[in-house]
Amino acid sequence: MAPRSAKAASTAGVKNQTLVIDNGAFTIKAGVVASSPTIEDCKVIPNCIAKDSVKKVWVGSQLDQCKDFGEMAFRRPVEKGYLVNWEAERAIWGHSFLAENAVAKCDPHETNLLLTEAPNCPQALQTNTDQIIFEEFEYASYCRTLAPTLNAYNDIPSLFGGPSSGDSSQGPAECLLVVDSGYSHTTVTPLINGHPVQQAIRRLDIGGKFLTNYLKEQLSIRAFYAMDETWIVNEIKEATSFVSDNFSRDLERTWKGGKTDRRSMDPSLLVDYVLPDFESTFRGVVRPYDHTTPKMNSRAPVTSASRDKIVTLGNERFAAPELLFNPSDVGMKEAGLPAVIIESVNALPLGLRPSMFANTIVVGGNALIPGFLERLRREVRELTPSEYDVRIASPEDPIRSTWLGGARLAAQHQNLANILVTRKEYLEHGASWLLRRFATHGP
Amino acid sequence: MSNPLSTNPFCSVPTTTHRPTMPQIELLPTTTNPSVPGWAYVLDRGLDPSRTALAPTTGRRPRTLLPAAAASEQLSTRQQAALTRRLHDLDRDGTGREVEVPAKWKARTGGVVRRILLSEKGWSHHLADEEARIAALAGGAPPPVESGKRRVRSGISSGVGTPGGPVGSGTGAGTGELEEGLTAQEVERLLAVPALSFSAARAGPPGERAARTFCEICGYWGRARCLKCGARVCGLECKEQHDVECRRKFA
Ligand SMILES: Nc1ncnc2c1ncn2[C@@H]1O[C@H](COP(=O)(O)OP(=O)(O)O)[C@@H](O)[C@H]1O
Ligand SMILES: [Mg+2]
Ligand SMILES: [Zn+2]
Ligand SMILES: [Zn+2]
Repeated sequence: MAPRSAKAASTAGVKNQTLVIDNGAFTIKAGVVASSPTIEDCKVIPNCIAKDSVKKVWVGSQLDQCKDFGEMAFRRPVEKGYLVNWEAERAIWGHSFLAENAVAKCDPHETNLLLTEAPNCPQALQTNTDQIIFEEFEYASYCRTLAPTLNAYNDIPSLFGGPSSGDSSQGPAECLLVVDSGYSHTTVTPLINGHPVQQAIRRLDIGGKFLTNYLKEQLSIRAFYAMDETWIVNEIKEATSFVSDNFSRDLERTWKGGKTDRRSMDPSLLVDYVLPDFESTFRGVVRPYDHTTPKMNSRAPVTSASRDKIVTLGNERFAAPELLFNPSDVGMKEAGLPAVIIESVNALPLGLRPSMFANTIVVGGNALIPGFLERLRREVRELTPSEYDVRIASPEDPIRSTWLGGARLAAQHQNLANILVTRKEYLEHGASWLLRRFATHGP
Repeated sequence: MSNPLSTNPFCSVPTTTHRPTMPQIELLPTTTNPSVPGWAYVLDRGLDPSRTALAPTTGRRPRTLLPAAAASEQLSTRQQAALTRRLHDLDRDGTGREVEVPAKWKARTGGVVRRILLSEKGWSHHLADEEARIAALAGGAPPPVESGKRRVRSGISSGVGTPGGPVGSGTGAGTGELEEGLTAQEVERLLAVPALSFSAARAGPPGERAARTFCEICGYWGRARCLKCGARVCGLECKEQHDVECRRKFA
């Protein structure tokens, strides 16, 4: 890699192991790295403190043991994608990295920290983070960087059918456009040699949370009161949603018809979802659509006699993900993701645009929605001059991709030393110096 | 059937003259909905779902400011407030019930760290602070780039030449394309530009295409509008269901 301003790499204070934390709003992706990291080294930890219906409190990875998610309430330290509440985050980090049975336990004094943040973060929040890292946790050294940048250190050529670069010793991708669609929002970040082109970064204010909330709303009108069932509805969303390749066609095929011109819906677009009862079943189950079973209906009184609580999903499966492509469907005054990508690329000099369109990757949990990538490819293609090659790919594990890139960077000790700031340097120069340094010396 | 118009779901919508007790409904003209004398029609932009669906994007000009036709779609103040509230709710986290940090992890240290840990500020406070900071900077010193109103918008160009040298070969992930496109100094300068503010990085407005509307009840196209509250429904059946709620709200 090519550090922007090579600093005399003082390896004093730089340790042999690095804790890489991709601090997402939904989950923390974290793991300790020494050399040759693999994706299995990455733990996915819920970034929340939750209170269940009997007021028991669960912190971070404790939730992996939780069974009853009925009416679960969540407190998230990362709001709108930014680390806002350090009281809650400190508890979750403490539980994940410091406590007796921590999933990624390591001694801060013996560890470097590579930490991600979302683009366009307010400065006060950045300084809060820097101060907590060095004054509360006391990590030996630290680098704060935009999450999308770390993807440049992954094996990008292989995503586009090129030869795999194999090990992680090679430098960052030269030109890369990273679409990160996570819990809070979707960002588009052009990278040159792993450095962000800041003025071209764009954000669509729709992420997985928005889609889940939209589905909650729809289900509450049509099936059952879901407004307090965030966890359950998120499960339904992840299990059943898809991005339609022809929205109006699919909307027609999932319409019941008018009062006097009943239509039969296309059963291939419908699924039944059996809700957990949190007594004998703890996870929902997707089943093929069966018109003979009685379904939950918010208009009909709940009959205590019905055994299974079953919801049929039709347009609910694709109407929520559609919002990423058409935010105006809910009246939001933002362009859809394909146009946002164009907007970002257009903010670059002409000479860079072809390489960005030809090297676009999608990371973040929403990349897992079936049909997402195909639809994005098609629409970006339609919006782009025909002489440009449009190539959009997604890594096998889009949720842990940012972490893996960071881990690969962390394994290149010399390059890592160039971007880390030691605790000693921080104590010497102070917080505003550090703010400026990370603003100009990112990896 | 008592309603003589009930054979056509679109024409069977009662007006106050027929059934004074029912809330009114307005039909929205689409090309498949010929106007029927005696019925109130909403002036609209002629949204035709089947047509808009065939052209899901706005073509090569993704960026324009507010469409001229938007004026006819002016939302009432009440509708605008409802929309704002709904968008806010859709972006909300959790249920709002306060979840306490377990005592074990309560802050014990002092100084600056304690101030941060015990801060009650949420995102909206921080955003307001940040915008005030940027405004103050812009007022005093020469405006920093990050507070610049909005970036220059250029329509996408199909030109493949640039003063720096020929580009357009850069389709592969291979090396060399960057050198062809920009000089090292140009890259250096590009990367030195500071970050935009949170607000400036937000996606631009949607294109000119008429916003699609959906039935509030079933999610199908919102082909008709409730005269009482403006809600969209697909037809008579969903309208009846809507009326139950609507009456309760606006009684
Ligand atoms: N298979 C899936 N289908 C749809 N959405 C998914 C799927 N898997 C994860 N998600 C969504 O992706 C989001 C989390 O993505 P992630 O990139 O980890 O976010 P963050 O980094 O903001 O924590 C959540 O909203 C989650 O519901
Ligand atoms: Mg993320
Ligand atoms: Zn309807
Ligand atoms: Zn109404």
